[in-house]
Amino acid sequence: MAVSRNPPEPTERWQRCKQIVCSMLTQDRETWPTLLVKECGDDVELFLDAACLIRLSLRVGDFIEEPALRKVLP
Amino acid sequence: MDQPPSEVTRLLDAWSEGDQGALPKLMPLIVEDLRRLARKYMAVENPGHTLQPTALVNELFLKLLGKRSVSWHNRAQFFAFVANMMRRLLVDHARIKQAAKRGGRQVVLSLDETIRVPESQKDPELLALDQALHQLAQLDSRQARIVEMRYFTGLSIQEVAEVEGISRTTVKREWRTARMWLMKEIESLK
Repeated sequence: MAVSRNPPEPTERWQRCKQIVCSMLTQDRETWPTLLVKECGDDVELFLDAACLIRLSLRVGDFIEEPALRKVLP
Repeated sequence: MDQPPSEVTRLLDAWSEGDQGALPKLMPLIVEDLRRLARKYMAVENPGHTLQPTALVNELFLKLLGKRSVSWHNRAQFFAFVANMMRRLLVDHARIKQAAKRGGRQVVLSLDETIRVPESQKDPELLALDQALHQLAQLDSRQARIVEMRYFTGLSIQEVAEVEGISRTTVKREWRTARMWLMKEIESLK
């Protein structure tokens, strides 16, 4: 008999998503699609979240890198 | 003869000793003191100074506490608190500016007397960031703290690692993924 599994909590899902994305970031970009499919399996939601995040890694640039206080100090 | 501790000091001590009920009472008192002290400190600085945000914040809090050194039991708690205060201060400021713009008239802002906000700083983005950061805290409180310490007080990777008791590599990883997640959230808010 198949054991039914509850979907992961958002916090667990986020930890898993981070893990996948961080792992992908250490690899060549050419391998990302294969890694994404392999790591996410049939979890479509996780796949979409991780894919969105990995795409953003290409253009996150210096987003909020400069401390807010440095901007407002005279 | 020693003076009795101020309400702020008493509440800070209570909170640092684990009294969570002290925090909501402390917040409004601290924010007001920070505003006043920020005005005073900025006013005496020469133009073109190189005061570092972290130094400013530390200085403000040492003055606020009326102590020569911070004797909190938990350093992480102190820096997390400072970061949260600076976030509130800057977000409040952005909110006031936005309200003034919506009102269509110029409003004299006390903070602007001493803190010049350049045109390039987009205040609505700061408000959106604050909103997104609330969401991130629900998912991962440590990651949200790291963003507060990095962005709102300017702590370095090394400093955050020391405060949180984690490796620099972990801080870098958490900081990078948090920035990506926040960017996604902010874009979805637009």
